[in-house]
Amino acid sequence: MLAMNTTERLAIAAHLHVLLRRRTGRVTDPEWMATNREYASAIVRFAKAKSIELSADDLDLWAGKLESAMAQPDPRPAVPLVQSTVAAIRQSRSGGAGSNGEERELPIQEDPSLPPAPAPAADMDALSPVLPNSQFAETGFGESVVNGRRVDKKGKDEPRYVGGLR
Amino acid sequence: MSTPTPSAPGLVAASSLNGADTAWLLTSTALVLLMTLPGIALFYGGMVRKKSVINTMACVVATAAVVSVLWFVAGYSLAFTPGDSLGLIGGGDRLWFAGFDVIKDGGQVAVSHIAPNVPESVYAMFQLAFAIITAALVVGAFVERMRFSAMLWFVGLWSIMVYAPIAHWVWEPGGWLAQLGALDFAGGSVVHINAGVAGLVCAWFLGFRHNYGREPFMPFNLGLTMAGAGLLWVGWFGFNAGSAIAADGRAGLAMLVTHLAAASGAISWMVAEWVRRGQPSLLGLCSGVVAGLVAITPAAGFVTAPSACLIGLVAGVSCYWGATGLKRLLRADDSLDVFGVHGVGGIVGSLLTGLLADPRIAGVEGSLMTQLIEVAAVVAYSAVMTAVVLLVTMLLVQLRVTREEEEAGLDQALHRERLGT
Repeated sequence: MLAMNTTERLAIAAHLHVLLRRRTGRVTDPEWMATNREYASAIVRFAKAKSIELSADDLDLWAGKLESAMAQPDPRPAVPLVQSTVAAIRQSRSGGAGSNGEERELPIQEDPSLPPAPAPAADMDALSPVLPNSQFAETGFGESVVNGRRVDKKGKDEPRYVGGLR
Repeated sequence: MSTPTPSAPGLVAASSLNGADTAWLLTSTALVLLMTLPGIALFYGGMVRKKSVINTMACVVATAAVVSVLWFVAGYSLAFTPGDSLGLIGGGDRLWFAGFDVIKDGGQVAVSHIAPNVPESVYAMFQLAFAIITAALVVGAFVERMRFSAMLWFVGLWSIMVYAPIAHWVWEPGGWLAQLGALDFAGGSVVHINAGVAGLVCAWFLGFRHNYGREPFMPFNLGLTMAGAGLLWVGWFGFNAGSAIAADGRAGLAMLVTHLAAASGAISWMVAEWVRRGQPSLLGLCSGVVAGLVAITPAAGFVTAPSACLIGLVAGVSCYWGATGLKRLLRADDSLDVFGVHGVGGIVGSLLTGLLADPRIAGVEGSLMTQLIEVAAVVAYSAVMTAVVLLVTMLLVQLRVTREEEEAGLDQALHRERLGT
């Protein structure tokens, strides 16, 4: 389920997409706009420039809204119950802290026998609320999980409808 | 003394016709036509960009009209009457609407030798629905960039020069592939491989759409696509079960295996997409349904229910690859993945028919080699002759719209129509 913040971002991006389409003919990808900060920044710059050129105050207004929305920090991704329980058990075995009840990060213990996880994409944090665990299985098909740390799936970050519908 | 099996269309006593079979074939004809109008129109219309939805639908409607007239002028005769000794093309017994007789006083009705239990008018209409949908499928490969006049010339010439001969080879008892023992119950090769390959050739000829691969081409309304997919799923019962040309147990089994394959295809495409992209999608589900339906088409009257599930599962994954990885390898802008779904699905289904055909069902044994020959022959002929048809079309009219027309959208540029705001 998408975090509320991301839903709002998507709504703002969609509104800006419609405005840009009508006023300038420019076609944008609202999904990508709501999740990728670089793309969103580029669109904001474009929209603001066009708002001056066309004297369109609504373009400037919605570009500002998107800029504010993207500046906010991303919500923490939801951790599946099984995963958090396993993490808690491991921590208690290792005698870790956490008795004050605060939520903690999943422990990352690199297994030397496994290949190193690739570096996450720069906008991984932006993507993770939008592309949560598949929930199809505990770790998801095709997903390489190294001690609780999710490795990016092939093709997962590809924008939709570019170079083909499917 | 038993009546000899007719080898050509002719008149029979009306009392010899089977009412149940006729009723079922009439119903199937309507179901198959619904698959095109509005099934394919919605399926495709929902997937293209908003500025070309009307053009896409217009192409489907115009295809139905053009192919219908040409079918009775020449197509049916060339496909479904005995012809040359090599089994390459039919004869002229049914040219120009000839021979669809109902003689009340004599109590006689014209029948086809292929389906002597139903009136020939009904059989010809049933086969027309197949001819229409095959040509309509090809439209999906070149949407958003082909000139409307070029499309009209293309589908007309293609239905006569490509579809009719292949249908003759496979479905007319004297056709050379039928004589070889190739199994194609309802059109895996005649319809789907043929349309898929033709679509691919069209995509290569026409080239990439402007900004393809650089900009997302947002589908207009996937709800329409789903509505179209639903019509395709249900209509396919007429497509496959109707190909039994009888209201009997074989038709019932064909309907059952069709449904199972559709469901299996949806599931396996969904899983493949879930693995690769992390999420399933409505478009993926609809595409998987169609993939399963395509693959079961040649096998529907020859396989058991478990085999149908297997065919659907394999087709879902294969066609997902066909519409993604293979598409990139082929370097063609096949707009709506006609080759990826119909071409690949038809090839997979035809080959699996050779492996999985159960002789207890239809009394024939499958042969992988024969199916391979069939697939190769249809691929080669469709590719070459589609190219010829395109070259002829290019001599007559301009094939592709201008860049300005493409950017403005074909709805405005070619039809001066637009969807509601």
